[in-house]
Amino acid sequence: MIKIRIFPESNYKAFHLSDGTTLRFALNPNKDITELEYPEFYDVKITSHCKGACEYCYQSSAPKTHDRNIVEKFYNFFSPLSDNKKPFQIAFGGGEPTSHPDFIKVLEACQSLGITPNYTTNGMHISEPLLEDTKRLCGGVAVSTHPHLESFWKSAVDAFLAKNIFTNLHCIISDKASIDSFSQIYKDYHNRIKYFVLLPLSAQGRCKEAQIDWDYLKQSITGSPPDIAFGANFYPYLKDGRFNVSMYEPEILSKYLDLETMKVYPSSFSTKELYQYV
Amino acid sequence: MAKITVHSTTSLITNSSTTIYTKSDCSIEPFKALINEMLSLMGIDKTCDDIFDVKIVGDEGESKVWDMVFDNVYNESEGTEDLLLPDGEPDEEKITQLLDDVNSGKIDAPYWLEEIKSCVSSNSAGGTSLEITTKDPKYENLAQLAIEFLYSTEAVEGEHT
Repeated sequence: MIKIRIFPESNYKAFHLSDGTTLRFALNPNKDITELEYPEFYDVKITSHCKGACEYCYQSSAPKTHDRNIVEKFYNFFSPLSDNKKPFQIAFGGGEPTSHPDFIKVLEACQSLGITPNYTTNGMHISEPLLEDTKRLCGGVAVSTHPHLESFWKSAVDAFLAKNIFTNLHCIISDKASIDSFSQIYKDYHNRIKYFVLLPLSAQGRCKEAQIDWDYLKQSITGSPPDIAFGANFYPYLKDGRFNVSMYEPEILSKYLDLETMKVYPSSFSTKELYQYV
Repeated sequence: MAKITVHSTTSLITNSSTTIYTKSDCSIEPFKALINEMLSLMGIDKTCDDIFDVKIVGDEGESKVWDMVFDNVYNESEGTEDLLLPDGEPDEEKITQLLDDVNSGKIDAPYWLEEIKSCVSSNSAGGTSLEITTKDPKYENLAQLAIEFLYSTEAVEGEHT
């Protein structure tokens, strides 16, 4: 199966393959693709609840009451969209999305609309039914490698891999210690994990912006491995050309939807509200 | 023979960040997978490898970087003195070696090279160019159809199974 989206006004055509790969073509290859009115992928927050207690949480997530109308809200937002306007995929997050009692229903709703659901988890709520539903419904998952939750995330990774589920690891990068930690994780999980996604700290919520030791990171990675990916906030660093990456302007292809408030932002680390869906 | 430019590719997106994947992952294999699925949709019992030779052709961004480095050396810009031959001409072998070493992570880019790369990166439309040739002349029409399909804006919106 191939899904196709075309927006000539953005010089954009994209193909989404059954293995989860998306290929984009600029209709005029001499010009760049510009911001899409209808994003290719969404990041969707379904809850603010999380027991991870990360002192650097940019969402300020904490134990909270779940919003119980998320399935209805999800349908209201996405079901009116034509196939061309629907995103290819959604990354669900939070808070801890797997803690929400209606999480699987949202995944099912997403799948029923022809959109591939993925999610990020801290690994604290992994169960056999969740693994089965993930295998049945999702394109892939990412496990956050929070140092203080190591036993949870390592168990979760083992469980996902045992089910042959597409698994990424999210690694937060800031100072030398964080880079050393990533290097160890890379050594331990290389060849078992699809992508090691490096994410810088973002000064938002409980997180204070930390300087990225870019020089040390560059020294710590040999060459430009195809299984290391960079989050959008690395964009200004990547422009030095050290890593052979496929660059495009951050936030032109995606948006962030908070299902609790139904507010849409350029990304989860942006406080610039674009609109509120009513 | 045809040239296709893949703007970018991504795998599954699992986080809020518009993840940027490495170029080596955004070239031939995903393109072949796309062609294979297209052939399957057309009911053609062939694979991309049966019909086409696909290879990456010179990266335009890298080519621009090389040219700009050469110009900097030629103009004896500060910091580039070591890349000159005794006769004052740019040493092309040394320039290539320097870029290879920087790109492979063996050494850090000198400040002037970082500036060049940054300049090229911010002015580039990006993409990876692929050269596609048919293995047999009988596939020429099929190749043309596939390429037209890639860039067509008509009657192919939405989902195709």
